[in-house]
Amino acid sequence: MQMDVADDTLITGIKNDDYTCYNQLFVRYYHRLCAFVFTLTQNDSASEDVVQELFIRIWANRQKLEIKETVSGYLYRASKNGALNYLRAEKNRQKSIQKMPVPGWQNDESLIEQIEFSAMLNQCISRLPERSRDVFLKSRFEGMKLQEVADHMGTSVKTIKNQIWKSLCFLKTCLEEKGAFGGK
Amino acid sequence: MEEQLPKGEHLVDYLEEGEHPVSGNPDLDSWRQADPRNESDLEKYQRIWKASTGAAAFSKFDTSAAWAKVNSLLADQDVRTRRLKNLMYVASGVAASLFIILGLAFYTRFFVISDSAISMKTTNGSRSEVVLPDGSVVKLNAGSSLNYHFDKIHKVREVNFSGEGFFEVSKSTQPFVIETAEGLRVRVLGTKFNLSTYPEDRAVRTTLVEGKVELSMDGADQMVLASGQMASFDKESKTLKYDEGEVSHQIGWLQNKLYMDNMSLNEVCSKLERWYDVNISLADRELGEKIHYTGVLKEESVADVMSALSQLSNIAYQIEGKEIVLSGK
Repeated sequence: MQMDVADDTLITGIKNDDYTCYNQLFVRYYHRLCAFVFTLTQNDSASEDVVQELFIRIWANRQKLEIKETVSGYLYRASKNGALNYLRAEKNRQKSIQKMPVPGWQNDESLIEQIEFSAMLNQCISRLPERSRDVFLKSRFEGMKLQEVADHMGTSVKTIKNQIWKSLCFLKTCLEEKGAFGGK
Repeated sequence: MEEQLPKGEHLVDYLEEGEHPVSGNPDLDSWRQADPRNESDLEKYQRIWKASTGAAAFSKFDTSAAWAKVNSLLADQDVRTRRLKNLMYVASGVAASLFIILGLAFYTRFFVISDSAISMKTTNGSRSEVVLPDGSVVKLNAGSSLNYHFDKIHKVREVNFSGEGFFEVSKSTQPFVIETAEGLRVRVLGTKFNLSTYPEDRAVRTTLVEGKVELSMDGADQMVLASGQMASFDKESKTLKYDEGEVSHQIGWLQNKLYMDNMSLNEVCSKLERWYDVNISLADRELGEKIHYTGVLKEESVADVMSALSQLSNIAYQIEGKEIVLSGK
């Protein structure tokens, strides 16, 4: 079901005080931005704070909101600034620790690309039939060996492999439709 | 394309072995060499394989909880800025007597009450989820609107609602009361249920998944639903009755599924119009009630749905932008 409203449309809505659009934008980007900020802060709750503060600012300043680049580009950049501010404050707080490494940011693009890919993959995984999803998650997320998954589901390794293979085919098609592989 | 089993099994083995596979699987090797596209497919599978462990990291961030927090922070902020404005108004006034300040404090308290209100709207073609200030979660189907406010005097969570929504009402001793445009009241304490009340539909439908709800209407009998039961309220005759049917079918929309239990083409069209934000017209008006469908649709685009429907029945369709015309074959 194609229910996705374009990011730009959401921003226009937000400027016109549409709280629904604001909610949609939040739901759409929250995970991705948190995952992105986490690579900098290495701290779960700090990452969430940074992203939540960003969104609160967006709503509070919605009338003045001017986005000249793509919406996602803007959000990633703004959350990076938030993360850097957090790190700076943290550094001041812990003056004694002289060398707080600020990770290099030359690789923003490939990092964002990875996160965007994972986000799309997550959406595709959620569309798998329940049983296939279960098998796939057990083997990939929970790190179970194929034999363990098979025992758990009361079936053979061969069946499990077959199911994972079907899921992979599905995921590949799904990701291709979303243009996840880019020009490669 | 080339999805025979042997290759799939080998491929999973290959991916499972990781970066340094024990090479020498002749079947896989010959498949890789057979076509350069296979090699690029393999890269894609590897990418999915690698990313899928990382995708788990996403689930540690809870969007619903975060939204609830942001939502309530914003509500507080609104109240605060409004209070500030009111105070400034007084300060710039002629006599900022204590009485006026006291009066204002009282006034702003009223403001606070009305400010715990929240409104959400979904247009056709979009869905949304909203966390209400009391922690209840409502999934809104396309073309719905919701107004929530907490009546502090009577201690009632009040909601005006139109459209379709799946309500997960947080448990509280303070009743949660939904009122539809027709005056039907749905009263609950803490439950999960689906409510469909589109202005263009003939009936208001309530489907209870869990807990207990009470339906009432001025001048009509009160009715209680137990979990798994459903009821409809006929707008014309103003009567309430129990309905037969599958609960899972009523809430299929949560999974983007449309269950049709002997559903007329008219009814299917009005749902599709909302879901996909399109206009569907029938070349032959009688068609709408003549054709009925039973089955389930789960499609990505409205074009896929149309092609499925045309295969199920004798209809042809033409799509032009947001306009769709159906005709008999």
